[in-house]
Amino acid sequence: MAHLTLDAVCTGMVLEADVTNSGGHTLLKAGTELSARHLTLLRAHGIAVVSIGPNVPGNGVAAPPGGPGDCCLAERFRHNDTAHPLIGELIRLCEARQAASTMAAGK
Amino acid sequence: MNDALQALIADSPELASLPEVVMRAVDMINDPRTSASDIGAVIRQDPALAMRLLGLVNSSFYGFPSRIETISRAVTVIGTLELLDLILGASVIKAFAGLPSTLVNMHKFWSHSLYTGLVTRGLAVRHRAPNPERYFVAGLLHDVGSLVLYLRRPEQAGQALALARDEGAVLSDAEQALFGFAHAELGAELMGNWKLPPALTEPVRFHHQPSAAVNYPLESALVHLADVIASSVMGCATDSDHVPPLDEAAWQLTGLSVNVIEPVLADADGEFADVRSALLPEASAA
Repeated sequence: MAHLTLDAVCTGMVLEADVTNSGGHTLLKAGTELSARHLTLLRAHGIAVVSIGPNVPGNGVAAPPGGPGDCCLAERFRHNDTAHPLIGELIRLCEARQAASTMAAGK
Repeated sequence: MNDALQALIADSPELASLPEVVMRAVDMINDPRTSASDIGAVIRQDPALAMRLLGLVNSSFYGFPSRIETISRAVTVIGTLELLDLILGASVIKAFAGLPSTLVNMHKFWSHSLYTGLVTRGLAVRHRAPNPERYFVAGLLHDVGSLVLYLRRPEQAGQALALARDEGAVLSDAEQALFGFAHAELGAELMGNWKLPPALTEPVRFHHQPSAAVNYPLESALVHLADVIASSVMGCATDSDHVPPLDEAAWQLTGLSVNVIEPVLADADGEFADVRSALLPEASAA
């Protein structure tokens, strides 16, 4: 199980564990494929970290060789030419930040 | 077109005018004879504003070795015009940060704005541009037109946001299709109504198409780049999180190297919490 901060989570990922609010109420159940609306809901409830299972069937998380952030970054930069030097540098910095964020969340 | 923008602004009394103290500060920005004592007289009318300014001046934004206790001292070390720009930024954010919106997370909106301001300033410093505080304010206010849309046209603004978030549309394109204009033009019109100088309104108007800027192409390019950079590393003002399209000509115009990006971000990261605490104390406490 990988604990990812919400910034490192993207649509299409599948939850491996239920997400509950501070009152213990379940917001989203394990197995939910996350949509943009789900991410908005989680932010609205102040959820900072969720559990994403790398081995869940249909989960796009494990597939990209560069780690969980890959699919997110492709979506985030969809309006840009990733071969541009500035965009390439920004992607590199985003990957570094996501890796640091994921490590911190897993501690 | 202008009529439609002005009608929308006139329908937004919360935004159509600035507080009196800020109006006086704007008058002084536009008056080359402004003195330090003039600024002191204005600031004395608003102790809360003075506290915010001193908080900003004593933050890592400047990193002065010793504490600055008074506004008159701040004028001496920072400069008259520079402090007026900070008054403007601090006042606008104070006046509008409390506006509610069901469409976007306002904390995220202002965090993006603040970070964009810090990155704009950092790029300006690397470019050796004069008065980097003005760049900070231009970056800080670049999305202010969105507030008018959220407040006065929430249904259509929601449609534009949904097109960006769910369909992958460029937000400005979606706004253009739905309203006939985008948040950038609306923000510039609003700031023009506030009598802000063209050095601030033009970069806001053209922050998504900086190559169209006529009088302030460098300022417009730097705000554009800062918006792209801030959207990349800390998310956009909305939930779509799509980075706006980069204007290659703007990047070329600045002549900056990609090697400056990492140190600019390191500076912005180091300053962000301090500056947010000074300008958005409510958000920092949340």
